[in-house]
Amino acid sequence: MSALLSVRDLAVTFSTPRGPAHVVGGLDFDVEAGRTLAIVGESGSGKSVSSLALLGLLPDAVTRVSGSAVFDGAELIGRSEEQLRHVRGAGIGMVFQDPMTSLNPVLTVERQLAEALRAHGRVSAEAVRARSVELLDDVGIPDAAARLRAYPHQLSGGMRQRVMIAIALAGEPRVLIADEATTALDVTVQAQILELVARLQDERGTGVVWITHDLGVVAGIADHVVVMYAGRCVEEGPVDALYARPSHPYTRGLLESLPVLDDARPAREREALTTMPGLPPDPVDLPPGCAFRPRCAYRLDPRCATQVPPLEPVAGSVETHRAATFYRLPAAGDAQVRR
Amino acid sequence: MNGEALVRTTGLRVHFPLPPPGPLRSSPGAVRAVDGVDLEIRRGETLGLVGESGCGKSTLGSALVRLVEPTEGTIEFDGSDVTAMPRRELRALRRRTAMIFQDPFASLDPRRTVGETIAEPLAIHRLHRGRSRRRARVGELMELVGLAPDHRNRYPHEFSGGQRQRVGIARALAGEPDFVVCDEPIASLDVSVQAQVVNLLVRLQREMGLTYLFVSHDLAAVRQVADRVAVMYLGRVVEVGDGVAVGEMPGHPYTEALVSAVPVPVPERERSRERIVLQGDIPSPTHPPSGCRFRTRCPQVFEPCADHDPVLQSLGGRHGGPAEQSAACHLHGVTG
Repeated sequence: MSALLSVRDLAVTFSTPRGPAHVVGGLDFDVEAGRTLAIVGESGSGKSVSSLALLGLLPDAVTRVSGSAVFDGAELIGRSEEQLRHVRGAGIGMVFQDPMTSLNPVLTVERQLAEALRAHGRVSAEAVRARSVELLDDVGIPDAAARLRAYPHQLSGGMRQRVMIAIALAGEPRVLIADEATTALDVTVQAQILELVARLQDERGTGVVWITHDLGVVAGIADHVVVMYAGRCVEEGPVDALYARPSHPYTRGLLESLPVLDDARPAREREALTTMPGLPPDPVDLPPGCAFRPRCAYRLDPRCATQVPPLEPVAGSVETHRAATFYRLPAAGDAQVRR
Repeated sequence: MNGEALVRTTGLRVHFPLPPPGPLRSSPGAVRAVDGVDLEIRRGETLGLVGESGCGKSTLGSALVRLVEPTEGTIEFDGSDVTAMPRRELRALRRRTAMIFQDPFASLDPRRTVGETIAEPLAIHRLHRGRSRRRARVGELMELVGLAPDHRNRYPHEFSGGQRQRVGIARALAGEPDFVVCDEPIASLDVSVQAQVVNLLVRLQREMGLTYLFVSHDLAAVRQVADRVAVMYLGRVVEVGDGVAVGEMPGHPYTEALVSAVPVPVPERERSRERIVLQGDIPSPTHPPSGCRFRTRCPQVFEPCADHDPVLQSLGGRHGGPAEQSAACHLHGVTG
C-alpha cells in the first residue's frame, strides 16, 4: 500500500540563546490509510515537534526544518503558510493534548466548528449547523444540537476532547495526528476516546499518527511503532515484533520499568522496578556518538562513543523491525522482557 | 501489618461551599469532595487510594494531614481525635505526618536553595538544633533520597523533575514522620523516571517503617506499591481491601471498569481484552445521584440502586481465599 504521508530525513533545529538545539534528527516514517502509526517518547524526545514541523506550526524565526514530507504527492517542507493552510484540516487534522488550552474559551462549540467547516469552502449557515450536529453525533456527544451553544468550560474534559476531535474531523482529513490526545483524561474516558478513534478510522480509512508516552495505549492501537529518544528514532517496527523483541536498550528499559497491572503477586512479593539511571540529554549539548550511551547498560562497543548508530534490521525479527544500536541481542529466547 | 489502625476516619466529609446564589445559580450548594468516608490505614502498610479526577482522593489525603478542614466526621491518629485537638498538640501531630505533592515544580519555593527547603521542617519542629547539626542532618536526608549533599546550595530550577521530587521526599521525611500522604507522586514525571521514584518510596517505607497513603490515578503503580487498595468514586470509598483481591477480582462494578480500562503494554493481550467502556461522565459532586452514586454509569444497574445508598459490606473469602475485601454495591445484597 502506498503511504498517505511519507516523511524522510526530517530534522528540526531551534536556535536558542545557548546555541542550536537539535530536537529532531533524521526521522523517517510512513502513514498509511486506515492504519495507526504510534510515535513513542518522553518529554523532549522530539515526538511532538516533528508533527508540528510538518504542518508549519513552529515559529519560523527560530526554527530550521529540513528533510522531506510528502503528503498527497506534494512536498510539505518549505511550502508557504498559505499553501499549508489548505493541508491543515482538510488533508491532515490534528488533536492536541489539552483541550482546555486549544479550544477558544470565549466562543461556543458551534462557532469553533463553523470556523473549521468554513475554512475549506463556502458553506451556508444551515449546512454548517447541520454538519456540526452530525460531527458532534459522530464523536458521541449526546444531545448534540443543545451542546452547540455550550462554551468549553461547560463541558467535561472528555467532552472537550471529543469537540477537538470533531473540529479535527470537520475538514475530513485523510491523516489525523493525535498528540498526547488522551494523556490528560482519566482511563475510563480514555477508553471511550480510543474506541471512538478506532471506529472513525474504520469508517473513513483515516491514517492515524498517535503520539504518546504511554506504551500500554500503543500496545492496543498501533500497527507500527516508532520509538524516539533525543530527537532520533532508536527503534521501529510492527507493534507485535517490537514488543516481543525490543532491541534497543532504551526500548527495553522503558518496557521493563513499567509497573505491571496483571501480576497476581502482592506488592511486597514483587521485585523493585527496573530503572534506567540518569536523564535524557540536553538537545543543545548532545553527547557524541549514541545519545543514549550515558544511560546505557550495554555500551560495550567502542563505536558507541563516536558514531550515531544507524537503524538496522533486528536479527531474528521481521524485516521492518529495525533498531539503532551497536548492541546485539543474544539469540531469541532470553531476549524476552520480564513482564 | 494486619495490625492496629494508625489513621482512622469515621463519617468524614469535606465540603467546599460554593459562593452565594447569584444570577447564574439559584440555590446555594457545596462541592461534596469527600462525602462520608470510613477508612482505616494500618501501621506500616501502604494503602493505595485510586480514583479518577474529581473523585475526592486528593482532598481526602489533604484532610488526613489537616491541610484542609473536615466539614463533618472524625479523624483519629494513633488513637486520638485530631479534629478536636488544641493547637499545641496539633503541632506535635504535624511532625508525625507529612505529604509529598504531585508537582515538584509547584511545591518547592523557587527562591530557596533545596538545602533551606529541606531544613525548614527541622526549624519548625526544633529538631537537630545548631548550625552544624542541622547541616549534617540535611546532608543525611539528601543522601537518603539519592541526592548529592553538595548540591544543597542549588535552587530548584537547577534540578530535573525527578530530582525535585526527591527534594520533596527529603523535606517530607525531615520531621521523621510516621505517616506520609503521597499525593500522585509520580504523575508529573517522565516514564523512565517514574520507576526510580516508585522504588525510592518503597525502599524508604521498608527501611523506616513508614505508613503510606499512596494516592494515584495509576492503578498499575498502585498495585506495585500498595498492600491494600481503596477505590473512590464521587466522594465515597466504593471498594477497599487486599491489593491482589481488589485488582484481580474487583467487587464493585466501578473497580471492574477501572481495571479493564488500564492499558496493558502487551499487544496481543491488550487487543483482546474485554473492556468495559463506561458511558457518560462523572456526575457533578455538587449534586450526586440519589442512592448509589455510580448508578448513572453502571452497566449492572438494577431496581434498588436509585433508592438505597449502598454501604461497604465484607466480601471476605468469596473467592475461596482469606483475602479481606469490602464493596459498597447492591449486587452483593441490598444495603442502606
